[in-house]
Amino acid sequence: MSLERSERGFFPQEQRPLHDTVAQGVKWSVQRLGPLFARYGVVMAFLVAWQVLTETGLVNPAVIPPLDRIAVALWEGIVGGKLLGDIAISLQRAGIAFATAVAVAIPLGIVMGQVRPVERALDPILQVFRQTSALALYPVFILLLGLGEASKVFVIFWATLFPLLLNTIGGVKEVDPKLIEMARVYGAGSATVFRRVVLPGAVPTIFVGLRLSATTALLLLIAAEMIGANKGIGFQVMNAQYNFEIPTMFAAIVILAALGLISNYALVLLQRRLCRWSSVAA
Amino acid sequence: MSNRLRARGLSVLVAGVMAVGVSVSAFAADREPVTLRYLASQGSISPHELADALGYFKPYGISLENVGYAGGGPASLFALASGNVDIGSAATSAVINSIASGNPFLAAYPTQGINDKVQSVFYVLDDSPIHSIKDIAGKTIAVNTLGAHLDYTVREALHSVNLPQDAAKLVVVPGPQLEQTLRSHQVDIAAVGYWQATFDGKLRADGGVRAVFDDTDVLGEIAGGFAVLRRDFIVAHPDAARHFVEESARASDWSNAHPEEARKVFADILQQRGEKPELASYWTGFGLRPGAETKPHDLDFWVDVLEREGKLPKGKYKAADLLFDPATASKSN
Repeated sequence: MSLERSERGFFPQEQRPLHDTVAQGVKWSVQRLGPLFARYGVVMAFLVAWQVLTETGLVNPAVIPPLDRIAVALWEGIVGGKLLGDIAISLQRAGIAFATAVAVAIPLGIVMGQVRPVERALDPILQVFRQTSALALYPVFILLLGLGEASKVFVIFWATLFPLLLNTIGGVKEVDPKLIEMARVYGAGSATVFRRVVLPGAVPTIFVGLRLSATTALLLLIAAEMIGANKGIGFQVMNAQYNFEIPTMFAAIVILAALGLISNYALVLLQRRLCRWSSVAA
Repeated sequence: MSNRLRARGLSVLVAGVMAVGVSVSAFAADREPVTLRYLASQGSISPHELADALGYFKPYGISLENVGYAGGGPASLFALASGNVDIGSAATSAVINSIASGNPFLAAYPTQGINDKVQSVFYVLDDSPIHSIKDIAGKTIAVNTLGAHLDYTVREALHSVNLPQDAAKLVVVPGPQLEQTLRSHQVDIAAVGYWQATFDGKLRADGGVRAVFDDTDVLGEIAGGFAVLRRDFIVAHPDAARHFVEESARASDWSNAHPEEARKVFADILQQRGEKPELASYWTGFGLRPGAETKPHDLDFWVDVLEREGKLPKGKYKAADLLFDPATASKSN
């Protein structure tokens, strides 16, 4: 009897519920929040370290501001509306260029993947164009199209066209030949084989190309807006830096990163809908 | 007898050597070699570069080292903040912005000023519809950098005719390309800075352009920009900082007194840098007051502008906080 009581420790009976609640609370936390920490723990630690290092001055706050000032700048930019016009025009530029690249690359890639002679004819010149960096050609585009919107949209279009085109061609050519054979065995004509086997089979690779191109579009957007622009998120990164508004500069960088994440996630969702038969890793 | 003489002679010799040694080491401590790295600006020089070319810094063991080009003032201030250069040089507004955002800088001396002889001019082609400041709204203006003298001159100009400060579109164009972008109609207006007198002269010489307004119309006579030093540098080398300011001021006075010889030295510097030495003939000088004197107005004007824009809290910054005073620096040593 006394051994049992002493094994329970020194807590009298009335205080056991508190002990139990605490134990239960800890267990619940570990179960629910454990996975959260496992996934996002490093990110959270990074953010906490950033705030602490910059607040205490170990990292120069004039160069890297504390997170709360960046958050304020972000708030003023989005909710206060200071950066909304810039976001709109940047999305417009990248959007038009990306849409045009999709409209050109996917049909062309499908044709080139299916029709050998066309591919043989166009491949060499496309390889030459592809290897020439779009940013190296930007001055040429400026001379041809002026310092306005046309040259910016065109340089983004140029850079996003080629990854998409190559992925489309590859996707069309690399459809499992056994599936095509099987469709032929069942009496499918060329058109049906194309519509029912080749096209759906190429979609996953095309989507890889789309996601690569979306990233490239945003990268080129930043570079294109640093020359000859006076509006846009990429421009604001540089403009804020030159006016020593460093929190605003970081806010613009965060917005650019967010735009990239959103566009990537949107494409993943779209791919999941179109390709329910294959599991897609984000 | 000879031994004693020898011993005395030896002690005199030793004392003499020691005396010389002590004075040499005192001399050397006063003149420890200091190298100041800086970024040059295309087609233009600062008084400290002229002073270096004239050899004014040699007696003090100061040497200047050009580590590259900066497109504009703010870029040199970034380099100063990261420790890549020891001298920054930027428009007053950019200098105040950088100090207000937390960088430990002090303005050392004004590198250039605007007056009736030295100005930034805004040019258009002869057939342009732009005739006054009001017409620049909605037009594209080529400037060397954002956030500096030309940017703020445009803002002040628009403010003076009650237009919104971002009514004009500023486009960054490097100095050597200003003329090309104007003539090829890629920009409506080319803003040639007061430190770009070389490109200004060439533009006028090639003709077909006219001036719409200049910065003295908007700002009056004022210092244009300052050389900037880091506070820790001034604490570590107070004498070098003082001599730097004094000899640069002397070079500015010399160039005012001997403009033709100054142009020759400028041409040599351009030649060494691989730029066009002929452009030196267009140079109009630094536009500084005697002794490169700073008046409180030079800094207070821009503090007021930035307070009005909402970038600076009211009353926090005064000219005295921002300027390096050589007298106090060497006294504290």
